[in-house]
Amino acid sequence: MDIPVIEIGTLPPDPVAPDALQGIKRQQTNPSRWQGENWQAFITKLATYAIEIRQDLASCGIFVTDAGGVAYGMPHGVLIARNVEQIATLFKTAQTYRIPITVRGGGLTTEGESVAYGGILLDMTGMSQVLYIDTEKCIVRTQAGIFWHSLAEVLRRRGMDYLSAPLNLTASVGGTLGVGGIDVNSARFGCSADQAISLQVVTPTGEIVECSDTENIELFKRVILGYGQFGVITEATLKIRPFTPLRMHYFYYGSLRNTIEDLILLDKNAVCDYSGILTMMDKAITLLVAFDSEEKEQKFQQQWKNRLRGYGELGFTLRSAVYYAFHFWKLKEAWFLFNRKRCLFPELQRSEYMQDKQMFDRTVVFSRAVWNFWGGRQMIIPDLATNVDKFVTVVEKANKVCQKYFPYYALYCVGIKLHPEHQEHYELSCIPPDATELAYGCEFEPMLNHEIYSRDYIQSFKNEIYDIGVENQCSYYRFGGMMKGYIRRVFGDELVDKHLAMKRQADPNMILNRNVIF
Amino acid sequence: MFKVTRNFRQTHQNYSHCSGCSLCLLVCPMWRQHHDSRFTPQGHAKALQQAVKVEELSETIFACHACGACQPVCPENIAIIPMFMNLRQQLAEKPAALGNVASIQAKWLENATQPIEKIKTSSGFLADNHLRQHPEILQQVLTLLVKTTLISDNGEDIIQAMHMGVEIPSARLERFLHPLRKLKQLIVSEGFLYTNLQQWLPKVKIRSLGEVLTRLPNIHSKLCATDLYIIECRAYHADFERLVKHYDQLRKTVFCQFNLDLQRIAIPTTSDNIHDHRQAKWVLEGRQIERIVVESMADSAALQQVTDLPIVHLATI
Repeated sequence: MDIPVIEIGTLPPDPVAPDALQGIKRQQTNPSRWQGENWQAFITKLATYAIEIRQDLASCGIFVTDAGGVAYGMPHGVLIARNVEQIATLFKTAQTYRIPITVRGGGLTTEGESVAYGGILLDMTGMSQVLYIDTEKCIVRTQAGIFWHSLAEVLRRRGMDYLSAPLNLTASVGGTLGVGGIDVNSARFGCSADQAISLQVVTPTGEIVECSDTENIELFKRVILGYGQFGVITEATLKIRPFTPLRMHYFYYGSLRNTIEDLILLDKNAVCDYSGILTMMDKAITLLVAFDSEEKEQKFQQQWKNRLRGYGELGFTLRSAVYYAFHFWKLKEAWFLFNRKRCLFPELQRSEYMQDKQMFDRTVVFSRAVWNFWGGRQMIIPDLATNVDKFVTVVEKANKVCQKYFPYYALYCVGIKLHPEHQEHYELSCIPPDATELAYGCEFEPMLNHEIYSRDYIQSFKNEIYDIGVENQCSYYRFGGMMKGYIRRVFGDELVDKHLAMKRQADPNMILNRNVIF
Repeated sequence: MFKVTRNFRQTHQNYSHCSGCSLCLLVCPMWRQHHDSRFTPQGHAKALQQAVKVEELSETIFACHACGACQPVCPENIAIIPMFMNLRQQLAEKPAALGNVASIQAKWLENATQPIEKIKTSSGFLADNHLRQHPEILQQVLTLLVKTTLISDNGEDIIQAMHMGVEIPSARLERFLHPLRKLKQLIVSEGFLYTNLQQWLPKVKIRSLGEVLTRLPNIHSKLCATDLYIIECRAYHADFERLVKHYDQLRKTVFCQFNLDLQRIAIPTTSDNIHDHRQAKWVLEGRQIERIVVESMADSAALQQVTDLPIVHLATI
């Protein structure tokens, strides 16, 4: 397959054919490198504004890949964001010289969305200050390059907490608002992007604009869940709340279907404050249920606990022991589960994070577990997002794909409350178009365990998962970068062309995050 | 010549294992000061993965304060402090601000002529120079540490040499370690050498002064809920898995606040720039406290720059 060289500003309607990923051509996954036209003139011009672009290997080499660890790209230069005026000047100049700019926060993308294949890498983590906290109105204004964890550190000194954020300490606020952000309380609050009240944005042409549901409404709609196509979020005003520890309950299942049905039951009836599914294997599934208040916890125990089909830890251990006693040829599987339990369970209940059976700092606990037990130099996490009705079927199909490719993998499922007033934000995003009130997302993460898999093998796995999404009209959390070939297949030409037209209008030379979506 | 990392645990990984997770940034005082990844462990590891020459890192490798906060949070278990120390050794030119190589070498020559110390107790105490500058507090510490000998050779020149990346003659190291080998317990007031001492003296129990003192009932009972307790961060991070439980137990019984972040990492009160008080201010931000209790006099000096609250050493409360 030949990929034509395309000049910036002359992008055809769609450089990726609808079925481009069939056959898994390698050149399809990493975009071609921008060759550096006008670079020196651009750098010289920026120097007249006292903007320093670092071009040394030590500065650029930090950003060669993302959390996925598969995409690789070296920027021509790096700019550490320091203030909004500097970013505005950068964009105005870059439009003149047609220089691509890739914006990066925590770099937790998995498909190369925050990898710069040449051009400028704008490191937003340089803007990480919390600007003010209003504990009475429950809002915070912060620079958008801040990590959610750093924001939490500042909020906690005031007895406050954010509403919801990814269970990963080094996700940045700006990056998350651009893609969604899912927490174990998303079934109650919605995705993290729904917590944004207003934003300061630098547009691709270098204007500094404040936007919200009442001010510059169109820009707000496009930037929230916009995959960084319509502007750089430099500041954000977010909803916050008083901090509460979690009252945790774990239920263990042997059936994926039963677990998902119980999760949906809890979410639909707003029984708990936190809920989610995490599997060790598809025969050992954990349903996490947690509460902010004792009253809600008691109500759950009186009215709902007995309706769940899961077991307690002891009950499930005994049940598993009996099962493997009669399936002794599956001893390797039993050994894996035993070791997983032995390592993982104490990590989730470390004494310094637990007091009176309540968990403090859930993000720390879960993020540590993610990095220690799932993370690594490669993170392969294809995902599917569906409406409530399709969720069980879709996850079961995708689970079979996981079984086919990897001996061990984990699934992570959560509900996402939808806000009707944000319906237009959700267009061309991870929120499935046919979902109302609640949507569900599931991540499929193989445990690579230091095994070496070829890039094509991994790509094939991701494609099979995403093909299920196409068949079932789902959406994806990670549909950009190397997976962007699926965007037209899932959303259709009309919607994608509508957004492409808006993008062209906002970003005439297509310089901002150019390889991510279009 | 002695290599700093020769005996480091084999389970530790090197820089090539860095996956770029950025968890070290969250706890790194250099990150708080610069907000520039080049100054962080991740920045250095990634640069080395790109085969950047050590000379090109000279601006940043001496900035690390060796607080060790990055070590417990690294999911790849990379030996980060030894990475920095080895990089410093590879650089021929040392920054003048860190000290004079010739003066350290002169100290070694002088030290070689001194008689080797004899310790009569089974417990020894290595007091750092900050504590030695306060003889009345040092005396109080020694009163509390019964049957413990103050060791006159506190290895300060070895610490300085490691900071500067100067190789330490094996004879000097041997003179330092020889009297310590007979001990059952070695208490340190400052934790820079904590991990190395664990390696060099495998039969000796290494303990921080803070841990030992807080286990004394008459000290424990005098801590209260309105105290901010400043843990000496190097020893704490060097023995994190054990000490995090100790201090958590202390918190649950005394209810005082600690200089711990949400990951239970001790926030250092200083960074590489003594005129930059951001770290100390961050330690105090938003706290409702009446007194600050320190394990280390270096922390006391840093906090005095930013607060009028009473600051007392743990031994004197």
